[in-house]
Amino acid sequence: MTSYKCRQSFEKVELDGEWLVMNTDAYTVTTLNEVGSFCWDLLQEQQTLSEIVDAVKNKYAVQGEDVQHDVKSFVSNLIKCGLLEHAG
Amino acid sequence: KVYKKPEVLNHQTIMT
Repeated sequence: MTSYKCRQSFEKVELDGEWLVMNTDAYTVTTLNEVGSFCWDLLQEQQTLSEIVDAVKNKYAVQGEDVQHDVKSFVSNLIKCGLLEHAG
Repeated sequence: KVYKKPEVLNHQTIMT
């Protein structure tokens, strides 16, 4: 099972219900929504996709296959943004 | 809390 983790610890600040993740090495700012921020917090530690999906389902009391797809897409985007890496 | 799909709303390189 593939797992993921933040590449390093980035600064994160909240602004009007959105979360800004600042990468001071690559000079990028990435804005996340609330559920994205929740996933991001989980990814400070190594996580598999299914672990993130389960945590989201528990926190937001949501069911269904959509969550799996949503989280997978979100993780792919974070990798593209250079914030996340495969951890095993 | 209401579930919305996790999203990257914006990603940009800054100067700062």
